[in-house]
Amino acid sequence: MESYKDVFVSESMEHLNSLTQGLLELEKGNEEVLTEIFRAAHTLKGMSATMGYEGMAKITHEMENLLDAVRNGEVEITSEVIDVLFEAVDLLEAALNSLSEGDDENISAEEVSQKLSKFAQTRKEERTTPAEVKGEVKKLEKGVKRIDIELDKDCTLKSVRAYMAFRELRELGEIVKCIPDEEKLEDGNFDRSFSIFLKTSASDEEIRKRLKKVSELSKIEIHSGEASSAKEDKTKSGGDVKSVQTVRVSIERLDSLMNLVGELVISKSRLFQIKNKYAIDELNETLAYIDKLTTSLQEEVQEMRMVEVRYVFDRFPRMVRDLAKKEGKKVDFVIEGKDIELDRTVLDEIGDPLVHLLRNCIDHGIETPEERVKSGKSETGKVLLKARRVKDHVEIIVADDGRGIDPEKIKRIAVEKGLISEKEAEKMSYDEAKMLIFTPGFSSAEKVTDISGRGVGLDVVRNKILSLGGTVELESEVGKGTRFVLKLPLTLAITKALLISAGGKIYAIPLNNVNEILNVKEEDISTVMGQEVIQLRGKILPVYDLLSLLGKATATNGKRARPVVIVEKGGNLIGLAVDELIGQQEIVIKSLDGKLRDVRGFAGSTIMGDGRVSLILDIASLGVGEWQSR
Amino acid sequence: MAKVLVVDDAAFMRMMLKNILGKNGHQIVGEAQNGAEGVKKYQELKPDVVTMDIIMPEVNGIEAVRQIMAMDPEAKIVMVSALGQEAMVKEALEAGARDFIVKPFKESKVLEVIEKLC
Repeated sequence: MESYKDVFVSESMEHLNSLTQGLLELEKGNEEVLTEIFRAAHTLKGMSATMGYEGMAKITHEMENLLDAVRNGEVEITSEVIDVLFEAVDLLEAALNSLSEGDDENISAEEVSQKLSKFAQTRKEERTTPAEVKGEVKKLEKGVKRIDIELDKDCTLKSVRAYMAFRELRELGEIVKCIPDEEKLEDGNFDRSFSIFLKTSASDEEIRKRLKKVSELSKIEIHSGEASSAKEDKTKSGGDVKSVQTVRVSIERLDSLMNLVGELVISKSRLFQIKNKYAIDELNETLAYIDKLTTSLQEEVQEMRMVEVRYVFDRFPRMVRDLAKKEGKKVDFVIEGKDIELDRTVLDEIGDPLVHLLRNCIDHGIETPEERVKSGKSETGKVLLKARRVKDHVEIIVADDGRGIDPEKIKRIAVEKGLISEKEAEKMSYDEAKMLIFTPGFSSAEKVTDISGRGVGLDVVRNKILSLGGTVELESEVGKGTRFVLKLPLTLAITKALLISAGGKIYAIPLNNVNEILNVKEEDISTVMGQEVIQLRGKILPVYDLLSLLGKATATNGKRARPVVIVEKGGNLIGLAVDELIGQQEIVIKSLDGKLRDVRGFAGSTIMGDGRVSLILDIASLGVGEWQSR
Repeated sequence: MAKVLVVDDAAFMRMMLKNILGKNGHQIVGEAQNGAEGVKKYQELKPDVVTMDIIMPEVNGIEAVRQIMAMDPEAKIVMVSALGQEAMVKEALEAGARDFIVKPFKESKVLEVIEKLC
């Protein structure tokens, strides 16, 4: 059973987030968010006062006063005002964090409250006329309620329903205005929604009771007093009036459900194997049905665990802003794809890695305004955080247009740190050198800044992503910028893979890495500069013997007919020659532990239907020589 | 569980309504083919709800509503209309009808309306 406190904390976090986003918008000059910011502060005040959290209540009370004064045009929006509001937000966040850990508020509200009230008091002597609110609707006078009505999607005689609604409301007061106007309503010349301004002393409840008599009304929203612009409310508070019922479920429950489904998938595979082995045709229908059921079950559980990335992404604008300010850099931070969904555990786990990557961008990637201008770039650097869905995985891109990664510099530092020898450095390709930044112990910071710590972030980032069954790729060009591409599976544990055999062993390649599969005949393989290649639609791709890549000696002649799996690696396509294609299968990923984890080339292991263990390949970390496909 | 009087000049429409309502636990206590018959049957049967078609021979739906309301101001009448009859439905509502449903019927809407009145 969740206590009031838990609900308070989680709901307050949401409002606080809303506040933060709003303040950021306000800072950019967008004043339409004022109402929403005010409302968030107001709600927080109510909630914290009810719970008896006096520190929070005091701060939010002062915030509300200040925001009200700003809304009315009595106080000007300066950067000092915004800074102090952010200060208040930080303090509130600290309080919530403390509360969520089982502690008291643990904050001292005095200082900030005083600052806030000082600003609120700088209001001019005379009350100026209330700021004009954009939109078609005037601010509601006292005693007038705005009733927003939405008709059922399949309502046919709309004008009659509107007429009936009017009829009922007239019994309760005087209709002063309606949107759209009466003529349009009578002609049925509106989409599905309309608003009625009713001068009444009736309560919201009475109004609803009356309107209940009219059929085909799907939504009724009543606003009184302080509500303003119809436009804002429609777009922003649309989420409040959901008639969708939700249930809160603990994460442990979801995890356990996930595990059970995973085991079910494995067992199902075994059943299929047994059926095939003994050729029991009678089982066909039932097994097919079980297959369908487990797939549906899997999908349902996956859906339950899906959360929009915005919950993590929303933290970042503030962080980026503060960081850039601290570093004296000008950054334009763009976020795309906020509504892409990820499994909640994956989402939880990528938060920190993304922080690291973003910090790296700002700290090491983006140059100072002076440097940028000197190299002919614009003063303001660009940092992009983008999420997008590609086939059956999600890509998260962190990119900047900064100085890029200089492979020579990287190699030098690696040699200095004893991570690689001079000889190895010479032999290294551009691609391989770039990947050096992911080596533990690597830090390209000349001095240790407290921003990105000791630069230990990147190897930890990579391991974290690998452990989730994903991959990290890096593209960079000196002087132009850097781009990290994180590929994450939609679901943590179960994923589709291509099974292949090489050297008598079975390996799994996650399907999201696989581009294409070819059956290559001997004559299709040629050798260019000592490297075996094939032609694919006009392009030349290198082909590597998988076993050799894995460091295993191969007893077979390299040049023969074999299946070749085309995968994407570091932005290029390469071919992996294997012995046999076994098929596609859903696999449950179990992570590798201990020593095996550091072995290049593997992302985890899985248990096959027959109980055997096979290793899952990690394409990104397979070592291949340098090649540029032409 | 409502006792319903169905008034419509088309036998097919009466049958549809009968089916929908019957299936959902309501009882059809009578049928009428035009407004005059509808008023008569109302007096006899005293149903809970009347479904009233608008366009009918002899006495039309709106007139029937007026007559029934004159006899019984508490009468619950639901108009059955076709698309494009907005003005007439409004007139019927003004005459005292409580609600309306549109042809072709959607079972859920019919039930919503009928059950709201009981």
